Amino acid sequence: MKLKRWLQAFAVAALTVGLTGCWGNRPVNDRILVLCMGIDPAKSPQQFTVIFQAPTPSAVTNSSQGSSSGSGQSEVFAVKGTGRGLEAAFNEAQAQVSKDLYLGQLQLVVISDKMKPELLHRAIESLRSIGPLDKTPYIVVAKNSAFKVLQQSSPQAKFPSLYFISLFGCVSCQTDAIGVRFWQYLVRLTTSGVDPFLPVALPFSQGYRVDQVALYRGYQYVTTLDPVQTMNFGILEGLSHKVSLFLPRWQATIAFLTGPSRLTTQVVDGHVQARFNVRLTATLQGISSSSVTPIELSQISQRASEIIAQRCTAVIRQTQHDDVDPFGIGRMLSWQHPNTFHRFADWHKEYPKIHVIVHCVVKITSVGTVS
Amino acid sequence: MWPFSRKTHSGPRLADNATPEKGPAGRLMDNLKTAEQTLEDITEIDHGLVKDLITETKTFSKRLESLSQDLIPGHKSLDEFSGDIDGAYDRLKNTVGQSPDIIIRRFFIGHGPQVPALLAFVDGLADNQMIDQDTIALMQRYQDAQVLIQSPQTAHQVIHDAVTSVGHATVETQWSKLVIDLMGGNTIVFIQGCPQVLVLDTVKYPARAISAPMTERAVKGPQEAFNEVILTQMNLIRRRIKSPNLHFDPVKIGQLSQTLVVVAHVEGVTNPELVIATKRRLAAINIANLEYSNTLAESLSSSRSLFPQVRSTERADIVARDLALGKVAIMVDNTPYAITVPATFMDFYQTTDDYTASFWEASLERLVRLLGLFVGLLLPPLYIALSSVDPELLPTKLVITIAGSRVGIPFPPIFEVIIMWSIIEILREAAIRLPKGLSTTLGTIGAIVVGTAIVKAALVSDIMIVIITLTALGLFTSPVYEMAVPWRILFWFVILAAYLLGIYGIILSLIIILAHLASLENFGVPYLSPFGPLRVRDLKDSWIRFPEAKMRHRPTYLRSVSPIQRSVQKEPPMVYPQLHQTQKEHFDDET
Repeated sequence: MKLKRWLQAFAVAALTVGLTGCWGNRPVNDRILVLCMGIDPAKSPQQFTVIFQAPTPSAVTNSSQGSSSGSGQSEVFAVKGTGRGLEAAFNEAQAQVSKDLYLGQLQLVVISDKMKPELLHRAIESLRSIGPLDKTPYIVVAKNSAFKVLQQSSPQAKFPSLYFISLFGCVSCQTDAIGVRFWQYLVRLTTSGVDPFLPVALPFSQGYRVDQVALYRGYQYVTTLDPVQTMNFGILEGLSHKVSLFLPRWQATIAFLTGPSRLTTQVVDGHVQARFNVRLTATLQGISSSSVTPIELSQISQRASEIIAQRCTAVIRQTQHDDVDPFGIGRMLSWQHPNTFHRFADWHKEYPKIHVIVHCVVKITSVGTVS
Repeated sequence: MWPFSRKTHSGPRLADNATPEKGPAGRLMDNLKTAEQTLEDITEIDHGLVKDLITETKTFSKRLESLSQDLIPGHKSLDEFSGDIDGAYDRLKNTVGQSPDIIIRRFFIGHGPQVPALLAFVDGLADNQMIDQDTIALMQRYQDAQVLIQSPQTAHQVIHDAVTSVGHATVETQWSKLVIDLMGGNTIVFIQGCPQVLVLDTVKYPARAISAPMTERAVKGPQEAFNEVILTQMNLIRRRIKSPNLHFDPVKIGQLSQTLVVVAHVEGVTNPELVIATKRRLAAINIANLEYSNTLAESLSSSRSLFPQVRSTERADIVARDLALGKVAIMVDNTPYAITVPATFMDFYQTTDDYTASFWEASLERLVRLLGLFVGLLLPPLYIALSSVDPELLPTKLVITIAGSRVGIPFPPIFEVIIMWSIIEILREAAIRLPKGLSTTLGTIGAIVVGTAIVKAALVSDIMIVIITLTALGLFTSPVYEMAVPWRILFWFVILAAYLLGIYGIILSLIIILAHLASLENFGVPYLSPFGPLRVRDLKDSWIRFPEAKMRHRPTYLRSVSPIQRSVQKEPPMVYPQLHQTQKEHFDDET
């Protein structure tokens, strides 16, 4: 009995001591809460610069009291570090501050579209191995410089991270729900037959504009879709929420185009065919006629379907032209026809050759403002 | 001069006018007095010790003398009353009679022929009116005392049957029991020549009135709590369970206190094995003084766990309900708290209000209690874990708010908790024994002055004030006070685990607590019943209370010999009474 007691005591003691490596006890106010991280290429081609952005102590205090600084002072500060890896950059940044540079609350990663693939690969792999990072921060692309994006402030939120959390966390706050979390990005990076896409954050005087997506082939930046292409990209991905379409013939707007998109693949005579079945619901707004007949509604729907199908097809053609498959057609093929997919040594070489059909049906479920 | 003759007695008693020959004790006392005088003469030291010794010796000498009077040839033992009331007088006077509250009175039975008698009682514990009017007055007016003289051996029976009007009277012969009866408030009556002593139940304690429960208040339930008198406790239960199957089995515990303990159970409902086990555990208790019912709790518990394993309650309705379910109740004289066994964890979260309110309300209240337990136990540990060890688990806005509130605080969160909880405990301890008016003032001072000042002094953060307030409220949502105690202690265990290992530590500590609870068992009943082992049927009266009609069975874990407490009604009686039809018929008859 005594032996059992001793064993129990020993087990508890061993457990406590053995697990002490799993914790780091430091009050949250003794840490610098890095909310945003920017990654820019450095002057040296083998290095990159990491910007760690955190709220200032006064901003933190004001935040807890529900007020803002009001003096025009920046509510965030940034420390930079440069190195061949994230660790080296982190150490350099840590040397510039007196508190623990804590990455556990990282909410946003901004990467420059100028990052070379090998540098980006190194940065992403380092990010992946950070212990406290829970792989849930959003990741966006900055045109040229990530630092510029982080420098930009918005009247809508105190910190850039809060702006993007609010934006991407609210589906109905976006035209297309194109927010990508770090783990989703990693999944696309490591899954064959699909390429990652990332939203582009464009700073302007009043804040940020997020209506474009950047397409990547692996770690290689390829192109950026313009806002109209991005809307159609969103429709094909089933991410559209507030997409609208103007029909000049009826002077009407089809708004709130939303609905699922179903991708199927088939192999016909050794050739791969992909088909997008897009079923959208929408609201008819701003039509000039005093009343809308069912026939007119049908015509409007049909016309809207045709236009969307054409535009979506054009977007797909564009991606085929760039040899980048953000829709995951290859991934779908590997699920539905694995033998065919495995015959292809490089999917990116095959992707431009496949025949893609977009079938779109727009159903007008409600009529908005009818004059 | 007392007129009773001592000549009738043989043995060591001496004749009148004879110089009594001093016994060894008397001689020793003389020697001591001489020694004292000698010491006074030859020295100047304090002789207090010698005087005390002389006093004690004197008392001892008198006791020996009174005992020697009972050494009549043929008499069985010193513990038996011999029938000699002079001896009884001396014995009483020299033992318990030295105390001023013991009244010993001689009198004569009979108006014509007279029989000497002796009566003793404890002033204040016995009803003087009953002694004066129902005992002494009736005995003194007794006309047929000749019968007592002729057959003194049966005198007690005659008095019992034809004279005294005290409701409850018994007979005793042994001094050891007579003295205990006397101390319990009974009046003992010795009759010359009769070896049987009448024990008249004249007990009348100065008892506290039946008041509303102070520690287990109910909104709509009965407002009757036990008082200190065990008879009243039994009456309160008997009023609720009028069945003849309700048994009160008396046990005396405590060599000095001789406290009356009553084991209550309902025959035909309670498992007899449970009653036997309770009695055996009580019989095994060997203590000098039993003052409180809680003293029995340890002996009635299977292990020295933090968690109470017996339910202590002052509410008569809860005891009655537990008895009706098949439990055993133990009541201790002079303690207004009865104990019911076996008790499970769930018992400590059930109150009277659960059964006086609708099952919706009762279920809601129980769930609030569960929520209160979790909030009270886990809020500060979660604060420590999330603000110190695992801040990555907090939402960004919240972590910034917490960080902002902690700016300028010199202590880590665990010290904040220690400071605040220490203040709460000190305030609680100080307020609990103060008069009501003062405790309210103290509470106000504690809440406003200390709370505000401590935040202004930047010793703790304002979030901590909110957390500690919720914690204090949550931990005391337990309707039974003693269940709040283990949580208040384990709170520190969870705090330490959270400080060392964060969220993982909290989970680990909760698993340890849960494992401990699951290991507890008392009277063969698992403490976590009906959750572990799972008894689906008993879940109807757990955190969710089902309607009364659905609770047909007594709890499975009690293994009652009569498991069903409510029979099924095949057809609900008069669900839709024909009110309109009856009214119409009535009017038709009138017209």
